[in-house]
Amino acid sequence: MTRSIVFHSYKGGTGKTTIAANFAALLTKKGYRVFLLDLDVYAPSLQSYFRYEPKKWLNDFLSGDAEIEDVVQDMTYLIDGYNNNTSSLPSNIKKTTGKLWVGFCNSKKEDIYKLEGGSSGSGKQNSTKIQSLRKFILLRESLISNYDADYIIIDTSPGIRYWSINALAVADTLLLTLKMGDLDVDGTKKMYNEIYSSFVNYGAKSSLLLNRVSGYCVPAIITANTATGKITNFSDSFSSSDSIDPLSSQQHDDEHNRVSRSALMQKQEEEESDVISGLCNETKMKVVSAIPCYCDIQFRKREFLTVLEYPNHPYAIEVTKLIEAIETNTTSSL
Amino acid sequence: MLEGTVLSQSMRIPGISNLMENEKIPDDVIFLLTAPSGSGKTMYCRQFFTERLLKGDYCIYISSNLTDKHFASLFSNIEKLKLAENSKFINPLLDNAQSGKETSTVSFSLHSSNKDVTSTNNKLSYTIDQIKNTMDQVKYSKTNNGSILLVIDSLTHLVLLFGESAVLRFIAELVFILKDAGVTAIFASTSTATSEYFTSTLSSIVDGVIEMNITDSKMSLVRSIRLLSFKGLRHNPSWINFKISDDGSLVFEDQSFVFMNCMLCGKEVKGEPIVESDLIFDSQNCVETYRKLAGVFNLRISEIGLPSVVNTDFFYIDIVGLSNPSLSTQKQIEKIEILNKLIGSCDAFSKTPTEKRIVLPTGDGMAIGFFSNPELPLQLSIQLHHKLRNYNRNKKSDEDMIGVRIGLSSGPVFIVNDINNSQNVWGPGIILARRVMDVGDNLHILLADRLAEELIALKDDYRVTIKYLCDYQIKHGQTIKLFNAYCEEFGNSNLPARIVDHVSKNNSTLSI
Repeated sequence: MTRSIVFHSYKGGTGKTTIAANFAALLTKKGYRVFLLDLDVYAPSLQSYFRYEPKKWLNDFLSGDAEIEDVVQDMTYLIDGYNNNTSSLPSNIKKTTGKLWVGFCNSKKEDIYKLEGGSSGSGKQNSTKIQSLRKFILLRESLISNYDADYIIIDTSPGIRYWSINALAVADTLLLTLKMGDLDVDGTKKMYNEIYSSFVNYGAKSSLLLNRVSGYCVPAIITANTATGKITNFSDSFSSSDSIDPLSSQQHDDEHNRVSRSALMQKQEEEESDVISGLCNETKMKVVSAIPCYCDIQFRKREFLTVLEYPNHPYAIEVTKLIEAIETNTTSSL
Repeated sequence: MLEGTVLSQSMRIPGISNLMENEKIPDDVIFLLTAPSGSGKTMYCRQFFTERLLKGDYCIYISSNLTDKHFASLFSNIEKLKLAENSKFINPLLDNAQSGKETSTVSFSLHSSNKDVTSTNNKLSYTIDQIKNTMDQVKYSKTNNGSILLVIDSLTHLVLLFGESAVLRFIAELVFILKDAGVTAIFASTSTATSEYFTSTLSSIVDGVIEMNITDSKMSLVRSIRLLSFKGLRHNPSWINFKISDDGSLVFEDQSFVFMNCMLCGKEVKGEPIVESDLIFDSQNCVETYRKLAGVFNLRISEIGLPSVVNTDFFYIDIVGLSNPSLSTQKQIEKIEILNKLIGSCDAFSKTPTEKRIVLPTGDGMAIGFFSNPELPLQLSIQLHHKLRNYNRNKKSDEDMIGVRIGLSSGPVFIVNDINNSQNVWGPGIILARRVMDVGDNLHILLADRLAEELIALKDDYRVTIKYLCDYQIKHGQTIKLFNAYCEEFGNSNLPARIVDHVSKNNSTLSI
């Protein structure tokens, strides 16, 4: 059975695109047939993430100017490129037999305008918008029936907008991504009440996906190295190809706790815990995963498929856990 | 008018053209029709019987739950005299005058020592004898074409009266007799009322099994039929929907003419559609997505399924003089069937992908909307005229010839779901085509201004063949420029009679 998963958030900048891309890559690595679709139509970024300029965009398909095979690009070669180090992969990750296709969305203003039906957006759907919506649903149906998709991963626009609502409507699993911060939490509550509750009533499963949660970051190491004028790329420690023994997550935590955890951070963690608890109670959603803030990723010049490049990195391990949570919750509520 | 084609092909078995790929089945085929109660078995048998009788076959109808009066009422659509002369009704329970006689080669009694059972089962023996006698009479009679049809509706009632074993033995002998005589037959059975053994044994005796189904989807019943098996012939085992019209006739959705699309994603529905709130969906995914969208946008269902406006080029045709009372219903049906086939064989129709056209049967003709190419309606008209010329060439009487008038136009239409949950179109484009066609006489190909001007601007050929006719006032005071397409090979160069009338009455609005 095909799973359609949407990464959504109330605000922008929550890390949806990065998680979605890594999530899709790891699923492919596990042998699934995966389609990653950029439906962040107002500010698409997957083409930048993959540094790929397709001849045809999802926009072309949605406006009836292209066929599906023209707009989903086979990017499996990217996954295959990481396959020579399978010995260091976690035991549940096998050499890929999966496939990864990516559908990119065009950031040109004309295309965005077109998807909005050519109007300034009075909120009323016009026939062009309806036709694009139909095509979007047809895309999902065709990926299921003609491409035998295992997973359709949708990266969508933040907030309550026409295309983010449509993306949420076609998905069976909604991952509401949020960073910790008052605005995000309030917005998330609002979004649950206005949108998610309706989808959940019609059978969708929704969960909270916390990103950049504090308490795992490595400011002490960065600070120490910065003080000596040497900024270390921390993720090198987790590279599978590195001769240095990678630190395990637990070792990392121990080291981290020993060196850098301050009373201030402990207080922050406690506060976050309270907020999360309150949010879960209010929205009846569970936290499916809490992905820590890893500054080495955040501040890298270019993050690209960390889960494949550094499979032992705690970020990769958290994404792996997220996948396991999704895989094992095929029938029950997440 | 329901969508689909009524008796659209030369069907020896109703709907068979929808169920079989090559449509060629032997004359002496015997089918088991199995279906749950209420799915339309009796109406299917009725249609089978009616069609064959009207085609000149002799029909035998066997039912243990009908009286003569009921039988006459069931076939009130057939002239009494014709029914009496060309059919035989047998009720095994009532026609028992000689039930005590052991005339059949097989005794259906399971317990010969039981007098009652023997007596009851001898009724089946007597029924066999009646059938044989009737077939012999038909064979030597010159009033029919010699072909015989036999219907049993239903085996379930016979089982109730005589038991499964007796009925199986009865059928086994009957099939042998029917095969020997080259008789086509259909045995109806309620699938939920008989044992699996009974159905599987019957299935092995007959040539083919037709299965019917009925699903209750809120306010509407969806009936479907499929050819489950057929010995030695390729067939399409997928379900075909059908409806029972007000006059009791079955209307099959002819897939070559009508395509049904998911209301949400637009994908062609293959297999059984999912119907929700009078809308048709391709998959459960689409139903759920639709519910979510309707819920979150706080819209009524119909607004989510908002009809889309498309510009469509229309070909509107009807058969001239089809409603002439001197023309028999059979002849009318034949003409509709022939016209359907001729249109279906035209390249302009057959080579246009189904998603690029929509066909709307109108009873005595049809409207075809083309979504892709404004030339197609005229091309279809020209190709059809060539085929009609060939067809009519050897016909001896006017009654056998087919005359048509054609109206062409283009304009916006809404794609909407009609009350039968089928895709339909409505809007100025199709209305105008109808109005234009109504002006014409036999062999006229009339065009409304917008399409005509578009075509004239397109190719030199069209400049020659499409000629301005007049300004013509159609309903509601709207005046259009009317064009006539003709040359030596097609069309009609004469002024339409209505135009001539119009000239005499309204000189001021006509300029020729």
